Amino acid sequence: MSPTVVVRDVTKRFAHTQALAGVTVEVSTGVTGLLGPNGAGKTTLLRILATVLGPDGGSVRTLGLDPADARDRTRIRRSLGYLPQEPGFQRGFSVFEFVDYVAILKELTPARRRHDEVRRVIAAVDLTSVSGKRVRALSGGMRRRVALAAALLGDPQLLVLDEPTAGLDPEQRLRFRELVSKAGEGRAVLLSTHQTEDVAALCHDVVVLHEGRVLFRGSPSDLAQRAAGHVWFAEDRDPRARIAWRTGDGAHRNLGDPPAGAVSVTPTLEDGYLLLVGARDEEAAA
Amino acid sequence: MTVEMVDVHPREVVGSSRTAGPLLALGRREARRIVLSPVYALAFGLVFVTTGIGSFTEDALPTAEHVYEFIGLMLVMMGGLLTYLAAHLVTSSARRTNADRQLESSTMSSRSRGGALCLGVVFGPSAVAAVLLVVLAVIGSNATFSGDTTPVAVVELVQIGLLIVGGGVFGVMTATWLRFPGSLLLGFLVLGFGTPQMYQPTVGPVDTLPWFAPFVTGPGFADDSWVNLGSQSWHTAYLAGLCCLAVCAVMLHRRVGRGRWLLASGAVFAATAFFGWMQV
Repeated sequence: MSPTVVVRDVTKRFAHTQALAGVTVEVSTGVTGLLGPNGAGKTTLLRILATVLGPDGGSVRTLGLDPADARDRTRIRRSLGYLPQEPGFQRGFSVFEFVDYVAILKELTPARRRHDEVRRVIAAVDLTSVSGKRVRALSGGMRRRVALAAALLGDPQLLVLDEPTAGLDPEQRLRFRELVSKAGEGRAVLLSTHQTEDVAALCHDVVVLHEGRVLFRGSPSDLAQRAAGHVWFAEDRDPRARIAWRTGDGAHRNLGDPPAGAVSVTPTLEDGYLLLVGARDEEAAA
Repeated sequence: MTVEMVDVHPREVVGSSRTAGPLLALGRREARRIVLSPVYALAFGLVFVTTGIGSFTEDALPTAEHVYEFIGLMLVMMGGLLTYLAAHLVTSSARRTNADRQLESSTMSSRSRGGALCLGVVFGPSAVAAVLLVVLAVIGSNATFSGDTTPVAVVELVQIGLLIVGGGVFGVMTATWLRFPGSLLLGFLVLGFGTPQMYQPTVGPVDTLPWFAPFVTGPGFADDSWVNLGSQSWHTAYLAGLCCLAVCAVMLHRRVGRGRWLLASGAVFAATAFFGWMQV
């Protein structure tokens, strides 16, 4: 099956900042995670895929269409759901009114069927009981679900989610994880996040961006395996460790090149990610 | 915790941008938002309490003349300004609340959204004003007035309606082009203080229209002949031209496909300039 999104050598510059420096990525059906530190270019890449920004160079094909072409861009937008990093809501709108407003902007007609669709997506994010409430009166987690409902309008083939779980408490995060998991059935979802647990739990594929470049692309287990043999426990922080922290039981979890005799433990995706990004930062510093 | 994904086929309901349906639907929605703006409730409530009740209680019950004066004064003195404020606030609300980030990737272009807001001005406050103007016309033709009140001619009622449309589309235009927090106040000052500065009080009837375009008044302005120079009719056409110019300015904000809107704007500008020259 051909990928939903094909990005080739995409570049983007803002004034003196090179946000993307030749990014090549493919996104296919299922949930693809996008990891990277702040300023890595994740949001820029997502905004390009959401057809909000145009790249300076390279090519993007979404659903086999070219977003640079105005007609194609409109067709892509009909099959696209986008949840920005910090969704905002106009004052005075109830949940139903806001989602209905977005539905009108997505040109869903006629009114009766549009309202059916609005009710469907509100039910999908489990907000039917508060659909008459003002959006501003809801908690942060509920507001994110309202924004996700708006993104799900029209049953999009591509869902672009920019840090949807940022600032949510653990229960809200798990709830959101369940929603994204459901949303990823039968469609492509690109999920940008800082939460490596979310990527490990949800994604079949993960892309690590760093300073506008792709550092890694593969499965979450492949990323975790990058740290195989590089994670060990010791009573104290090992000076050879790149990163180390004291765990709850008093032992130190060390990441880096282990000393002789150290017993390696099974690495997590977070270990692989930290080692990958940390190594690149050390190279840059050297 | 249960999450239900309802099994329907919503792709079927995705419409086409070539139809007017979504534009009209959005226009109606924006009309509702503008009309329900707290600006109207606050201002009309304040004026009603401070002036309306006072004038009514003098004679126990409001006479037709009282109602006529009150509605007329509200529409002339406040209709345009309040509609400007309401339309500006609705237009800029997505930017002020960061909701525009979600709306950027919608199928409907920013030009269509601007057009829908202009439609909202017509469908909403202008429609309400039209009803009130009809009420004024009916009262004016049936009631007996004392010497203090002069019934307004039909053409002047149309002009009042155009002032309200003009205020609204000017608000949409200002919020579309001046995307910074002070633009609301800036436009308000231009409307509220700028035009009276250019106002040349010359003849009687026009001094009831001190907002928007009174600076083009002249000695022959009160001539009611339909096509004569200096007639009210030319002034009406001029006000309509100003409204259309504001709509063109909204349409010109988006760079894509600007060419034909530039041509249209040129034609509207020429016609408005012609009407402006003919009315004085």
